[in-house]
Amino acid sequence: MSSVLKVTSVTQKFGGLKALSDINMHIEKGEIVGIIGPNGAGKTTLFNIITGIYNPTEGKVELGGEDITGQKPHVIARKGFARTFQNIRLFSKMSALDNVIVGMHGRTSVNLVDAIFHTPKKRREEKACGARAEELLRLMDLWEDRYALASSLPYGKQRRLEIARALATQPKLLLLDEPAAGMNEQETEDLLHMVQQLKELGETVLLIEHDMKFVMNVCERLYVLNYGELLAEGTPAEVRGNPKVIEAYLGKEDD
Amino acid sequence: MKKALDFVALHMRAISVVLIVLLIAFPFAVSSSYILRIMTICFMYVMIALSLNLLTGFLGLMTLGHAAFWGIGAYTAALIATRAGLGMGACMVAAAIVAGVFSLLLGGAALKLKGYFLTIVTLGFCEIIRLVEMNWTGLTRGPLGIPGIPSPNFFGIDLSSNTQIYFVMLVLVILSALVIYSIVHSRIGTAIMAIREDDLAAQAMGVNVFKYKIMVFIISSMIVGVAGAFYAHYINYIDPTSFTTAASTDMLVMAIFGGLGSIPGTILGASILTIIPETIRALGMYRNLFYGILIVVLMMVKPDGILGNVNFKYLKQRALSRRAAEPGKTGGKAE
Amino acid sequence: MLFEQILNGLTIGSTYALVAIGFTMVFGVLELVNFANGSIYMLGGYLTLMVYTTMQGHFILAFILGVVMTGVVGFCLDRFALRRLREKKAPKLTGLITTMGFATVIDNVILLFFGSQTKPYPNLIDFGQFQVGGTTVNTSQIVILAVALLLMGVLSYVTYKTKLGKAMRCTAQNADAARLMGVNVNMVISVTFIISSALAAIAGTLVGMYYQTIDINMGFTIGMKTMASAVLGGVGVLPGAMVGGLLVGLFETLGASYISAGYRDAVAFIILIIIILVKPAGLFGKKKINKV
Repeated sequence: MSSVLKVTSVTQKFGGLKALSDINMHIEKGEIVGIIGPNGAGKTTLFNIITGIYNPTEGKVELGGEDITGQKPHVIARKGFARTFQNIRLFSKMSALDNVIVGMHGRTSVNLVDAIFHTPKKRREEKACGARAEELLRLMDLWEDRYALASSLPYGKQRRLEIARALATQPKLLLLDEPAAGMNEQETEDLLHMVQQLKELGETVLLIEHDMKFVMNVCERLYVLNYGELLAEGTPAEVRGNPKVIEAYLGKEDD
Repeated sequence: MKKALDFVALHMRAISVVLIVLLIAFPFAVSSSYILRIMTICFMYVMIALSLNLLTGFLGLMTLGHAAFWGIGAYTAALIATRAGLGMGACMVAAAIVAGVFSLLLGGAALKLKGYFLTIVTLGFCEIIRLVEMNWTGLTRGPLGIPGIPSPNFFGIDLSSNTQIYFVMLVLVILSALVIYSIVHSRIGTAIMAIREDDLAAQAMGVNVFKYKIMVFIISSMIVGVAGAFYAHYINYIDPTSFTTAASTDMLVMAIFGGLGSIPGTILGASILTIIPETIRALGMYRNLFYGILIVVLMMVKPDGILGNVNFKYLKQRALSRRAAEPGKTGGKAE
Repeated sequence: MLFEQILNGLTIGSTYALVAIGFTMVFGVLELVNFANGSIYMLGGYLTLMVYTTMQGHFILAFILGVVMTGVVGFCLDRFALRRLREKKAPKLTGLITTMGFATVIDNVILLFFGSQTKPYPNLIDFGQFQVGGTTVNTSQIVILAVALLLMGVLSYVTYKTKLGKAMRCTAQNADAARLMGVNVNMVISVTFIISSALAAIAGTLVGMYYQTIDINMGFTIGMKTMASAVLGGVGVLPGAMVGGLLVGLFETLGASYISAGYRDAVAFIILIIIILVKPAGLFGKKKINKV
């Protein structure tokens, strides 16, 4: 079976600047994989390429064996890549529930005519969406806040709402961009359990994170980026022992 | 205040029905043709403001070109009615189609633009259309305008009394309100609001942003086109001075005054802004000055418009869930 | 003939450029489309005329007073309306609607004071005309071009070489960061509005003298055309507004004489739409990278 995500020699240039060079990676079904690296290493750029926001200068991105390089973000989202954003991008004047319902957009099919004439199909679909959205909000422990505006939620809940919204697209791969950023210890702990729960549910997750404790606890494999290049890959234990990674993070020992 | 809004939210359907019944009874209680004419114009502006609110309030695209589509609708209807002698129904369908075609052309080219660029392009479009109406004398008779447009009629039945025209417009405004309400309260509605809030995040959720922008732009322009056709039949005479950028601005002000993204707000805003200028006719020359001051003051006091921050759907949901959570009531905590 | 048309176009274009510079500066610091700009331009023309008539002949003084008074009006628009909206963190649309309301107020105040008739305007910069290689050149054209070029030079100097200009450019890039660095952002914005309104007043007076008439509809069209000029050159870019204004003036004069006079005003918008569709950043603007 082909990998859920396969990135082959992807390079991204902005003008003369090389943001990423020759990145190769793959994610298999059911895995939880982390990308770590110092700020500016190109982690979010890689996410943007995978989800179609940028078109890579070279290389290709495959989803379950299909080449999706250069396709529009909404097409890629429908095909199965769903993401969260480093700086939370919720639909702030909409309720938590509606935010999640937007996530189901690619999985529903009511059209203009159905909407105007309130066809049975519309009513059926709406009910199903509402029920599924509430289920997802429960999973992310947000059910009590379902009618609150997204912007009125505290920070930690907003991050979780983004995950719920992404899950609503029924993704083949969930991409989380610094899900624990800005969270306190307790919130991070809760998030850790939620991600582990996602694994039990069979989700495949690729996440960027700076919190090493979080990464080491939850990820099975890690990719390390530095200055736009793939520095190392392997299990958390392997990566931790890799001298190149230690050097990138702590600087050379004998300068 | 909060309780009143909750009450309205919970009984929105009943209130709408009562309002419609009152409006149906209105011409039988009030026979003043002056008041009926004001009400008719008021309905027309409500229809226009609603369609603009769909575009600006729900989808978040600021345009100043709606007077152009209004004019395109009016000229289409006027030309077909006077030259081909077709009835109002056919003219309205034609007006909607022609306005739709123009909006497809403009939208297809311009809807990739962001923010103010779109506003400025639509503004330019509005001016160009007005200049064409002014200068293509072979078609539009230029500044002389088109006189002798037949009064409203339906399959040969003449509907030219004030009361009949009132009902024609009432039907039109209710139909367009229902269409817009249905769109907003559907999967399409959540998608377009998501585009307004954050188009990139909406794309990442699988929403085809461009498709919805075009779709809403066309629907909105078609509704305005129909309003233009009605206007032509109602006034019996049109010339290019009605369809200026200033008219576009007035439309936008109505939508913003009532509250962007609120259907009840738009109805309220457009009604107030057509009825107040009428009632202060006595001010004569000071009227427009007063209008300008009113706009500036409103923006100072309530930048989001009258009901811009009130979402009746959410108020209702919250009120219901509070009720369900109250102990002692049947059902207790939901699920 | 062609050269005369080019000269006419450049003359009128240079007045567009002056107004467009003000428009683009305000857009630069506030990201606000100032719909009142055209009305302020017209107000400037009327105020100079009013002071000139009451003072009976002191043109220079009347001109200065007219420009200063218009500058004060621009200051008030910001100080008493737009600044309050900023403090409330109101949506940007609100500011735009406020400028529209303000424009309505100005237009109607002018209507009440001066009436709707076209008024004669004294031309005090006409010292006759002369021939250059078969082309008739009017001295008022020379004066207008000279004043416009001088002002453009001064403004470029202010924007790119002085501390105030630096503060303006900082505010334009990132108002919050500028504030943290000790720039008095409100002051910068006020100054921008004053400069923008004063420029509009100067242009309004020059155009009034050039055409020797002034009427209450001149504000609206000029508002549209300067918007077109600014976008053509690239919104927020000073040299862009200058070149944009000149080009719009040139194209519309040529369009009016060689295509159709009725479509004179449409030329600006057609150029505008083409530019926005082909190169939205304008001739001198830079494309922004979509940051996620």
